[in-house]
Amino acid sequence: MKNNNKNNERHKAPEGYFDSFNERLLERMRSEGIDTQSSAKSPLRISWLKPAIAAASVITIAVIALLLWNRKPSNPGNEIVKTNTVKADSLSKQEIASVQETNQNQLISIIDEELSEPEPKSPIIQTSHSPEEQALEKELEELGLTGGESGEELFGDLEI
Amino acid sequence: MIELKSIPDDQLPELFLSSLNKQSVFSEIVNRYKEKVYFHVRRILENHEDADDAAQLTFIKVWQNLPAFRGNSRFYTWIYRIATNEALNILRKNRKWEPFEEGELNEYAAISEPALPRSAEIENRLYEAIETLPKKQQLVFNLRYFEEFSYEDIAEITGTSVGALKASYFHAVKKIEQQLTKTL
Repeated sequence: MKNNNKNNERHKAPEGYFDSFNERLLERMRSEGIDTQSSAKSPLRISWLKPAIAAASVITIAVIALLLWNRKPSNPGNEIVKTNTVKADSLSKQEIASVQETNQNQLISIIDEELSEPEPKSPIIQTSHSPEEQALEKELEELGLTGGESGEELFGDLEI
Repeated sequence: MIELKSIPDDQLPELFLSSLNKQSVFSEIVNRYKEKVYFHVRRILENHEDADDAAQLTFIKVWQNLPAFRGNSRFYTWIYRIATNEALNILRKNRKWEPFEEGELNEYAAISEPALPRSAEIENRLYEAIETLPKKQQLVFNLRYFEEFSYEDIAEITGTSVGALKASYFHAVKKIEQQLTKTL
């Protein structure tokens, strides 16, 4: 390098300039608020990595949570109610009448079945519920009278 | 214990990043480059006060930006580039900076390096002639002639193409020759 500046009066540095250069540089850096213990910027190759990993982790956790939330099963009862409600809403008047008729028919058939079943052998007392009725039925039982007789059968011999 | 003086220039940035004692590595960088940086900016700025200011600003920028240095250029050209920019900023502030004129960039040929006279008296006249050049031409001339940078290195420092640099240097030499012919 043709560095002739040391011999050149035009560009000669003051005496001792370079000896104190480092110290003056440090003073200036401190006066400007520059941290002289560690470099102002953390290594670029690393500084972006940690925040990126943290951000990716947060996003991953959020996505997993969202997926799990969406897959959560709903109350079956609510489903049925919803279904029935939808069904009811979507039924026309004719359909509703048809359903009602069907229900009535089913009810009638149930009643018929009950009526066709043999009566239980137990006295009438078994069909009564109130205490007064139970007491009356007991009296009748003691009198040898059983339930089901008609009035004529009960009082046929009496002449009034 | 690493002997810092034995570390090559291009390994200093890596050492700076990995070292717990960054101050020591930075001091080594300053010690290696303070004279080169000073005389480089001194040639641009002429006076000592501005050159001192530019030199200090250069190393402050080095300290702040060394973690971001990616090694895309040579370490010393990176430092020179910072120094050049700091000197030019001061020049612009003082309104002494003149950009290249378009015509200067057009003439480019296989330029042979002219040999300029080297005696002390003539060197003084040489410096006087250099000072008559536009600032950017001065910069290119100084980097090429005194510091013997390659055109590729100068291109990294100045952000100018190699072809434009060769043209600039060619014109600078021609002007200096004319100036020296007048004064001798």
